Amino acid sequence: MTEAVLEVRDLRTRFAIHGASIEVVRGVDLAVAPGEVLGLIGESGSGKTVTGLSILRLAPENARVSARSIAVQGQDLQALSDAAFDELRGRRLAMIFQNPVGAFNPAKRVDWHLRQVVIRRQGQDAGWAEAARAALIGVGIPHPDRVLRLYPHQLSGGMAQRILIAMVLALEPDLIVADEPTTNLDNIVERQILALFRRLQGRLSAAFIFITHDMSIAAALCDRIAVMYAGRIVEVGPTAEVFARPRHPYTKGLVATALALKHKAERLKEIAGELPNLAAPPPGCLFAPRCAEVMARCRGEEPPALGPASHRVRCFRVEDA
Amino acid sequence: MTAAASGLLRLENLSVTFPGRGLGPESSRRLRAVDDVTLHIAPGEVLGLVGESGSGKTTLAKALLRLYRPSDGRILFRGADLAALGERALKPFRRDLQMVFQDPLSSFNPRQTVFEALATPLRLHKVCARAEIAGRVAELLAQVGLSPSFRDRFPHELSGGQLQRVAIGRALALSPSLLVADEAVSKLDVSVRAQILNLLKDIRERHGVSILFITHDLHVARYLCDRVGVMYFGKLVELGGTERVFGQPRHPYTRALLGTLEDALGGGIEEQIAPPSPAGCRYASRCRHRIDACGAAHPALEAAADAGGGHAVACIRWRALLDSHTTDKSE
Repeated sequence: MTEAVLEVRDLRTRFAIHGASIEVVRGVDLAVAPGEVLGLIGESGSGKTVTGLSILRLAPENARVSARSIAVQGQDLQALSDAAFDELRGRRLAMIFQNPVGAFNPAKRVDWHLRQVVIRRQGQDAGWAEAARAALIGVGIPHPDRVLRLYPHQLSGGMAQRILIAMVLALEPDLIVADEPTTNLDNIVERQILALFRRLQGRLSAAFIFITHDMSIAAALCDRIAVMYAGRIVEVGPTAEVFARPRHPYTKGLVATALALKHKAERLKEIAGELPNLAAPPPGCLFAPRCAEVMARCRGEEPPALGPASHRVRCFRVEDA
Repeated sequence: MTAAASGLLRLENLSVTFPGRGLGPESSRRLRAVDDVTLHIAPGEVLGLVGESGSGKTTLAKALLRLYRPSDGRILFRGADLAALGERALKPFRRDLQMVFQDPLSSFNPRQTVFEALATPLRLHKVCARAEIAGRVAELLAQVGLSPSFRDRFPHELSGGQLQRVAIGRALALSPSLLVADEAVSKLDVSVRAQILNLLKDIRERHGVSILFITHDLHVARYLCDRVGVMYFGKLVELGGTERVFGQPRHPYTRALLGTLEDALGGGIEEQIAPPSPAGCRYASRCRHRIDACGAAHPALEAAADAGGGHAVACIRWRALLDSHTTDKSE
C-alpha cells in the first residue's frame, strides 16, 4: 500500500453515562491510502459513527478519546490545540453527515455556503462565483445559477446532499468521513448519490472513510471493508475478498443475510441473540455469546488481529484454516 | 366480484386528504395523501406496500385502521364499511385489526412492564377470564420467541429487537385477522432484522393472519410478501404477485425503483426529483417515457393482460414499453 493519508492506532472512546464509564470504541486501528475508499460497516451501537467523530474531534462532550496516534499525512492530530484543530477541520479534514439539510445555515442561501468554502480554501473569495458554479456542475446539478440562489429549506434531500458533497470536494481535503450519507434518502435518490460517489472516486486524492450499515452499499462502493462489532474492527480486507470469503463468523452472518435477501431465500439465516451490553462486556471475544463456531478459548481470551496484513480477522478460528 | 377476490378486507376508491399548509393559495388546497386506491387483502396473505417517503403508504394503513377518517371511499370488512362507522360502532372491529409500529420504544408505556403491555388488551377486550391472563401472556411470549423471564421487565430494559417481538406479541394477543406492520423492521439492526422477518413469516404460517407490510426496502418486501402494491404520491401505480412485479415490472416508476446502482451509473445523474404533476399522471413529471396524452388524466389501474394473475398497472404506455428493457437503464 502507498503511504497512508490517515493512520489511526489504538483509538479508544469512552462515554461517562450515569456514573458508569462505557468504552464504545475499543482499540481501533485504521490506515487509509490516498484515493482509497474504506467502508466502515457495522450495526447501530457498533461504534462506527463514534470512530468517525473521534478522529475528527467531534465526539460529544461526555466522550473521552485516547489513541496511540491519529495521524494525517504523518502529523499527529492529538498534539493540536482545539483552535488549531478547527483550522484543519473544514479545510483538510471534512465530514459528510446523514442529515444534509442540518449541515447548512438555514438563514443563508447556497451561494453563501460555497463562498465560505472558497474563502476557507484560499483565504479570500476571488473567483468564488465561478468556483461555486463549477463545483455544482461537478456533482451533476444542471442549473447551478438557479440552485445557488435557493435557501436550504428549498432543497430536496438529494439536492442538499449533492451540494454538501460539492462543498466538501471544493475544499480538496486530505480526509473525508461520510457517515451514512444516503441513509435518509429515498431509494432512487440514494442510488443517484452512490453513483455520484462512484464517479468521483477515481478523481479523489483524499482518503475516504464511508460509514454504513448496508452491506450492499459497501460492496458497491468501497475498496476495502472494515467490519465493526461492539467497538472493535473484527475483520478488515479487500471488499471482493471479504464478500467472497468472509472469515469472521459475524461477517459471515452479515454477508449471508445480504445475499439471501437479494436472492429471495426461503428463510433468512439468523445471527442469534443481540449486541452485548458494553457497560458489562462479556469476557473474551465479544461475539462469543452469539457465535455459532464458538470454542472454549473464545470465552476466556479476546482474539488479537490474526491473518495476513491485507486481511486481518479477530477470530481464533482463522488459525484452524 | 367473486368472494375470493373481495378477500378479507377490501378498499374501494379510498382517499385521504389533509388541509393544505401555509398561507395564500396553497392553504386552501387539500393535500391528497391517498388518492382513489382500490385493493384487497386475502385471508392469510402478506400484501406489501412499497414506495418512497411521502407516497402515502403509512396514511393508507392508518386510514384502513380508522386512525384517520378517510375523506372518500369504502373500507369493506366483515360485512361492514369501516369508513362510514363512528367510534362506538368501530370498537368491535378494532380487536381484529392490529398494528406494529416502526419505533417499538415509543409504542410502549415506559412505566408498564411487558406483562402489563400484553395483559392490557386481554383485559380491555375481555378475551379470557382473569385467572387465565397469566397463562395467555406466557403463551404470547413463547410465540414471539421470548423467555418467560421477560414478563417483569420494562421497555427501556429491552433491545429494539426484543421490543419489536413484544409489539408483535401484543398485536397477536387479540388473535386479529389482519396485522398492519409499518416499517416494522426498518429501525432494527441488520443482524436482528432477519430474526423478526422470520418471526413474521412463522406467525403468518402458524396463525393464518393476513399482514399488510409497509416498507421502503424492496429486498425485504420481496422476501416476505405474496403480492406487492407500489405507491407514488398517493396513487397505487402497480399491483401484483411479488415475483411478477419484481420480475416483470410494468410501470416506469416501478422499473426505476428496481434499478440497480449499475443502472444509475450508466444513465447519467441529472436530478430527477420533480414535484408530482398537478394534472394527468402523477409520475409524468419524472417519467422519461411521457407523451402528451399522459397529461390528460391519471390513468386507472388496468390489468396487465399479458401477465394475468391480478397484475395491474396504472400507465397508458405499459404496452408500448414492453419492448424496452425489463429494467430501465436510465432511471
